Amino acid sequence: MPLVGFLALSAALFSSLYALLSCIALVRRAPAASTRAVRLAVQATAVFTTLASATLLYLLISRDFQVVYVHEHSSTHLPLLYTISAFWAGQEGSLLLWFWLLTVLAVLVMRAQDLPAALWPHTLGVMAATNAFFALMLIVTSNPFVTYVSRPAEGIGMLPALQNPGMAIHPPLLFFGYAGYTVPFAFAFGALASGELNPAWLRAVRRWNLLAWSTLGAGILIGAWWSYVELGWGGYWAWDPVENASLIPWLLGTAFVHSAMAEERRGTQRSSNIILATLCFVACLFATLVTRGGIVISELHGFAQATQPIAYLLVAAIGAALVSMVVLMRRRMPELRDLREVQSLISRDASLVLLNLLFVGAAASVLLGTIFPSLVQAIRGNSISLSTSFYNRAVGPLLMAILILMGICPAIGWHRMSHNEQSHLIRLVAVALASLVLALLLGVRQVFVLVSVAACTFVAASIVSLVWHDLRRWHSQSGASAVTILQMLRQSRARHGAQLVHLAIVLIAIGITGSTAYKQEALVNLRRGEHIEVARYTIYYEDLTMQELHAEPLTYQSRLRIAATLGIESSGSRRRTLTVEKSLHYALDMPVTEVAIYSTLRDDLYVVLNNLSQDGVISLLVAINPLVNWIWIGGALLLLGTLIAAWPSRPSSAARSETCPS
Amino acid sequence: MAQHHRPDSSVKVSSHLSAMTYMQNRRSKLLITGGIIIAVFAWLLISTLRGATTPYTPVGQIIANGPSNALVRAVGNASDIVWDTQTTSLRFVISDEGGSLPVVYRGVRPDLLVDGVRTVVEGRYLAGGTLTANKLLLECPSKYQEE
Repeated sequence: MPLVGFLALSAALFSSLYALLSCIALVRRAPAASTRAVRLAVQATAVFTTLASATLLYLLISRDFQVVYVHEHSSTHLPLLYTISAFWAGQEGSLLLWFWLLTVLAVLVMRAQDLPAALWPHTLGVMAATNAFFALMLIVTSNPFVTYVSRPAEGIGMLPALQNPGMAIHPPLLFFGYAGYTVPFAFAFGALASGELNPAWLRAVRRWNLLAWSTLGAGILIGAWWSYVELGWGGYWAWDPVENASLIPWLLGTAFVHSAMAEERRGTQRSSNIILATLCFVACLFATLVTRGGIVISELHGFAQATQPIAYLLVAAIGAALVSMVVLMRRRMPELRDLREVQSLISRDASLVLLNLLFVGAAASVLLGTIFPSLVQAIRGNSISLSTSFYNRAVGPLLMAILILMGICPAIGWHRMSHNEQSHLIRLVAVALASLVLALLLGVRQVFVLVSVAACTFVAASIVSLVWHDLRRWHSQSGASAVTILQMLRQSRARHGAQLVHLAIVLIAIGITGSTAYKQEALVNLRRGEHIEVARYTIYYEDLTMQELHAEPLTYQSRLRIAATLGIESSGSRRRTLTVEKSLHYALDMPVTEVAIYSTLRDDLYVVLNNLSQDGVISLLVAINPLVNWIWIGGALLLLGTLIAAWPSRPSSAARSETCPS
Repeated sequence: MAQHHRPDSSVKVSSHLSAMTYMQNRRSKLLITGGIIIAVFAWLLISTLRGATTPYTPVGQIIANGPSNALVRAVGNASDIVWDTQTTSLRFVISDEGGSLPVVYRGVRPDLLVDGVRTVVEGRYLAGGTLTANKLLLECPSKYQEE
């Protein structure tokens, strides 16, 4: 059975190489070239990777521990959900998942109606080359189908911290985002190579771009949520290299969403679009280099790992992508000139340029922080660490500036600011200042919070007034009933989807501000029957239970579970029960702590069982994390907004090409 | 987006030549602004990098340097880990080739902190011969390396 998987991978390598060669033949107009060969080969590749993936899934579910990957990541007592998610619990499986997504995307791109014909062979050629690269990487460095000589009786199993629904869906979303960013790159390459640099390629890539951007964003947020509910340190973002690696393509991708809009609507930022599409793709490969290559020092993920073979392949791929795009861009430079100049520094054209500078700057700072300790070690030989204050101070202000721009940009004209818009902006600033004064009166003294309050109010006011303005205009135009307003909303989906995304970012900013600035922590001891007050909560220690689970056979599941029941009371609400627990896993030789969270819109009560002493005293860490829920609510709205903006609609695409000024 | 389209006014200039200089002026203005932004940004980055780095110091050297208020970072193997219920703090010893250092930490006891595991501590070596840590980082053991 494992042999089937390996053969399928090998077949996928050959079929993707065949697709690549057929694409090259098409570009060179070779007599034997045919689009049919490309279509067949691209589809065959997807069939082969599906077969390989199905094989791995089957091996996992049938618990064939002779396969090294199955042995290392699953065990007999592992629930079905996590047996399936073991597929992407390790390097080999997650690369296979990424590869499978790539080959499916290649088929979808091939079938897309709006891919300009001139781009077709180039774009599919890039997709086929990426497919071939992944097949090669899997076969050479990360074959998931390696077997032992003899069959072990039991698997090692999945780490308890990974057995969480968040961890079951975080990696696939992330890999979908990573795979998705191959499409804009392939389109950009196609546009450059074919010389068809009109905005048609951007219009065709728009939906793919939003898809990659939103899944990557959702993946990052779910990863943060997992870290918050599972790891028990009370936070959701640690600026760890592995987290940073996924944030970099998202920041670049956000810049790309905006510069693509600028070119589609205005014919500006044309070379930025090519550059950003390339950087997004490269950043996704770089993310794998960080997590799997062993070149970056990560304190949480091992100290001095040796450089892995996969690192050389990834560096070669990154180099090839960058060099080919630089060569192509040099050739097309005159054709990439913007169709209009930016007229005024205070205009939507200019602020979009500034916005993208800020996003790229933020991505560059995160990159610098991620590789800085490794750079110092490589150059000067001494080991240093970079504290998170670097990110707070270097990236924080940039993100704040981006937030403020989010309020300004949609409120001013494309080429310059009119008097009306100027007075509108002044009103918005007045509202923001009023909120600032209010915050001061309420006793807020931290500069970061004050700036954040003013910025969030400013942006929220800007969004609300914009939507209100639209509604009023439609109302006066058509004397509209609710039904026609709904129709209008549907027609301007992109515009209002974007506003919803912006509002979601404001909510996330509020959540981050509250939980960073007003976090409270207390270490407390309780005997049974005692209670203690922390902030607005009263915590009663009610009961303690111990129970042995899955004692035989010995796997990661075998454990002694110690659970303390706590009664929670807050002013005006009824008493609730929270259970904090610690499991002593026999196979792990260490405890595994489960966090208990009582979550409200106002704050989260976050309790960790720190210690249980011989005399029955439990030590708890009690944290109050204000407003943290708004981060997750914002995340959901962000997805919803993107979905609204990206949902395909035929009439609106015709309308778009009419209003497009190019 | 289609709904929000403002009428576009083209640049009003009398001749082609003045249009060129007009554009060039705009362009240089933009370039200067961009240059200033990038310069400020680079300065911000470098100054923050300086302030945010802490060197790793061998345990022996921390002891030799004596008590000080400076932040230090040390890495070593943890041993004698106890939770002190009275003071709600974690006490343990980290050792490297050059010596051993008692550490006290007030906070969550990490699951990964077990005897013999490589541990990073960051804090201040104050009078009394104990390192008061404000940060505790654990290396994931080899079986954890996948994630």
